[in-house]
Amino acid sequence: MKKIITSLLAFILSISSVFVLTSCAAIKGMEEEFNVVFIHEGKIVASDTVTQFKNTLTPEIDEAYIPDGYKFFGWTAYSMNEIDPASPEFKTTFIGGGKMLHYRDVKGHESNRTVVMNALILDKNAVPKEYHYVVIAWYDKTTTSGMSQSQIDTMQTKLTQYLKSNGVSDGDIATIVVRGYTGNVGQSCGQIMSDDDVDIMLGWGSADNVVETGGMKETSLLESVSISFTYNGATKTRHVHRLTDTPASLLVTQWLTSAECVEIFNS
Amino acid sequence: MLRRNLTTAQVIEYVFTFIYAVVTAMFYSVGDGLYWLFLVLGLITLCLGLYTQSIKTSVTLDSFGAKDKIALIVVTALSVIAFPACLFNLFALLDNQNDKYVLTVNPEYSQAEKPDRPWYKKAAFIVGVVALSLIIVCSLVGQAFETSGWQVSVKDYSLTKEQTDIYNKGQDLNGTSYTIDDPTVSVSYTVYKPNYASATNQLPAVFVVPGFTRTKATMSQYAIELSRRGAVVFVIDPGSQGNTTYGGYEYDDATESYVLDENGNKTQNSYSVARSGMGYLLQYVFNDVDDFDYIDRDRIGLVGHSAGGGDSAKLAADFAGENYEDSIVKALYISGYIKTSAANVFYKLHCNAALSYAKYDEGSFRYQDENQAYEVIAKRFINEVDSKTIPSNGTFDKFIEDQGYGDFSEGTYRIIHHEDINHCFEMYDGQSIANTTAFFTAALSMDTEIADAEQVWFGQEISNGLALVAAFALVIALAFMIVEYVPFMKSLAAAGNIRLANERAIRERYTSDAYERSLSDKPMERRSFAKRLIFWLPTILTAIIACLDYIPLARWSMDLFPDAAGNVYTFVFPARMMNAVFLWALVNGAVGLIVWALTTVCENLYYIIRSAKTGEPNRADWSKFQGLAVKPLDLLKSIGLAIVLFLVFYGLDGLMYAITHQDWRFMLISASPLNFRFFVTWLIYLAGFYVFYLSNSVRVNLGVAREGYKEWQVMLIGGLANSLGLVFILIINYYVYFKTGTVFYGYYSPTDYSEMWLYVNMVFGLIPMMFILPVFNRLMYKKTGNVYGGSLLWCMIFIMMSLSASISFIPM
Repeated sequence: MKKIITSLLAFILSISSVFVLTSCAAIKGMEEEFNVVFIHEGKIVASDTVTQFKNTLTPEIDEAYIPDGYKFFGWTAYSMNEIDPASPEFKTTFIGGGKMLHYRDVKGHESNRTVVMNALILDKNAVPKEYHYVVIAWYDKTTTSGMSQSQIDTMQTKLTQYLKSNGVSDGDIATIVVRGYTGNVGQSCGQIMSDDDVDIMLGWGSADNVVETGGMKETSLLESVSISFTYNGATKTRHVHRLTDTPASLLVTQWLTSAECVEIFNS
Repeated sequence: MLRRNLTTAQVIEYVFTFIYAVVTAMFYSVGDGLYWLFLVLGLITLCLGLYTQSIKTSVTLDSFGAKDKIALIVVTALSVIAFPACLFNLFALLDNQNDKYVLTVNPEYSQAEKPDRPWYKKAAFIVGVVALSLIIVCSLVGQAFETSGWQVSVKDYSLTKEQTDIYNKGQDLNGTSYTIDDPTVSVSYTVYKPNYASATNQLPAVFVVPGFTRTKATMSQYAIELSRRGAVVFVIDPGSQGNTTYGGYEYDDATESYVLDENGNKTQNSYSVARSGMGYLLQYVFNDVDDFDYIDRDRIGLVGHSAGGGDSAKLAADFAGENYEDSIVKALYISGYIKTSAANVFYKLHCNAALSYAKYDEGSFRYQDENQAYEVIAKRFINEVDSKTIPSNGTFDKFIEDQGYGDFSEGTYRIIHHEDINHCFEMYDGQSIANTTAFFTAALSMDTEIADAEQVWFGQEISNGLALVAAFALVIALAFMIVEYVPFMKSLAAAGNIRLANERAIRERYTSDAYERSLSDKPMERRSFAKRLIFWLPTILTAIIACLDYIPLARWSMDLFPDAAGNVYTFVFPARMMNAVFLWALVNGAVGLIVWALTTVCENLYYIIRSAKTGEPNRADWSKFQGLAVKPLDLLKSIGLAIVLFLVFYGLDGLMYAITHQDWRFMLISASPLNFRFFVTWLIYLAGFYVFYLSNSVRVNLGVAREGYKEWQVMLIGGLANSLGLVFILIINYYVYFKTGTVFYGYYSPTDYSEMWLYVNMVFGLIPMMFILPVFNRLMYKKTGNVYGGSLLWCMIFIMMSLSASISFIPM
């Protein structure tokens, strides 16, 4: 009898412990709140609070306030002598305007619970721009896209042959980037928007899908073409979305939607 | 005083071991390499605790000599890392070791044979009767809460193709129609109807959609609170969950056959077709004005949590029409869902709406950019109102939580809540429920004076929780009675008694209990430091393995069972989320058995070699392996007993549900009545899960129980060893979460975006079951004398409980 009661009490205790563990009121005391102040030309343009569980959107600066020849990169908590635009780490030193600012972005920069973010406005030419002939994003989720890394490698080889036959230089071909994006549609499209250098998307669903579920702007999809191939014995229909209007992206899109390319993905 | 000081020091050292273990987990979770330091400190304090215990034994045996004194000096010095223990070790060191420890027994105390009581005075019978009475009483009390004192009628129904053919087909709502096409599909729902609802006293209706893996019973809090405030509430089981079938295949009514693709395969509907099935139900109820004449069709509300919240938003948009007057749904409450797929329909809504997202929602790590973050979605929610896709006049650049925007009468009301709770417990949060009732009371003009904070739903949770505990007690009591009094089963009791006698003999060798010493004619043996270490290190090792391999195995389950992972209907391990637990159980069960066997073999070899070298008595104990042996007939009886008790458990569960509409549950732990599709699913998983349950029974009964510990220690060690690994998963996950705002187990890796956070949410429900399992295994082993029957019983019950509270893509 005593043992059974003990067992039952232990059971109740364990359930109660789980309940207590989830008592989120205790978490409040662990929240660390920072007051974030955005300053441009010595004036506060915005302010908000940030905690581990609260983000804030950084303000944007009107083009009218940016001198000619200069570019507003975003907001930085670093001092100017800590920033080197030519450094590979440059992109990590600021958060773009209209982007999400998180606790982890400001932690360590606070003084008296306040973080000062200054507008980072630099000469347009200060940041070396990496040249790519074309950047192709492919949906690295085989069960959804029907495409695998080995198929993409084959695609890239044949694309190279095609571009050479169309007079594209070896130098340009060497700068082509084919980049895989994982995660669900929302995550992958979000990353593409964040990278902001993709010319063509390969392997995603329809335009409606990448807009409604992926969060991309409808106007960013200049051309959307469906391609169908066999995946695991069934027909799979995916899409090629062109995001830029350069001659390179037009040429590459033409080939990606051709039968020669599409048959690579039959499996 | 000497022993007392050593005991205190020992306990403190064990406590510090646990503290160092927790700190290790915390540092590990934030990627701080210092975790190794705390792991080492924890191991040192563990060894100190074991060694202090060993020294204490020397004192008890009156053999405290120079060697022990040196050891105590070393222990005292090292225990500075558990400083309070250091003080007590110092006190012990300075104590007078010449004091003798004398065992005395009160000569008048006698443990004479108790007279055999009649069966109805036996503890098992009394417990059984009390448990059954408690089940009945708690079920009735639970019903009282659910029905608000029997003022609300609560009934279950199934929606079928025939019904939607009559009421949905060709009768769209604002251009949208949802009709069940597959004749094998049905949607299970429960109606909470206040008794005074009638054709002449029509009430508002609220439709409730649970989230992924959840059943309608998990949303009963909303149903109870809304129905007692004057709304008729409809709660569904979403597709492939609870009593609702799978989503079915495309079916052509004209040819009365399934639509086949070019390969001759049926085309699967989504498991969440028709917005988790709510599209079928809402349209059906709305159109069937005869059967549902007590509903005011101008006051329809819709609420959903998590995936149910997303589907609710889309469904409200589907039925939105051109304006508020046209909109079928007049009030929408989206809980726990901020994906852009729902946000992109905000502008289409023509109803009053509320958005609630838990402040500590573990899934928020997925929504951290300027398109998906809560702050952005919330701002869109209050701005993209009534066909406004771009913020224009009246734009709100910032929003204030818990403040209303817009106008109820125009259907433009918006409010945002951000409660201090996490994702899976949001449905059980008083503030969340209060926000929900407040919204619907205002939006649907509900006639109530009950304050939103005045809630009674937890009465049902507590009652059903007590009923669950009582049900377990009943099963155990019944097992005891069957084994004791059914003549055919008495051989099991005999086997159990033999096992217990063996254990008692072991315990008497090591015990320092005065009375037990007096029973034994053998000298007390010292449980050496090495022996303790050989026991504890594998125990800790397997707990660490169980902690660290849960998420990798969950990830692997996605690759191993791709159909379930891809929401494809299948008979091959179709329970998508449970596949992770299944692999974890299989692997750790096997690891546990191997560790137990190897430890026993190594320990015995050590004793054999030691005996050969030193001439000491050979202490090798191979009887642990003998514990695996069972007579074939006893094995069959044990299996039969397990099956009978399983049927009793679920039979009674089903009976109480049929009578009172109450099953046995407490929040995330539940025993829903059996249904056929989950029974078939259960059959698929049983064998694999049994490895774990058997392993646990072996380790507790043929491992821990044969180390000479007292019974309560055996149960406690067993419970902790089986559950601490999972507890540490939560510690690792939530420490990082509290510190950084991002869970440790979010995506699987920086390059693998498989989401793991939901698998961690499952751990909350697993921990209590893992803690109590060794206790239950122990009780059954003591009664039946073998490790097989009890472990089978608990495997059957616990796995059915877990599966029926999850999702199964079995095509039924």
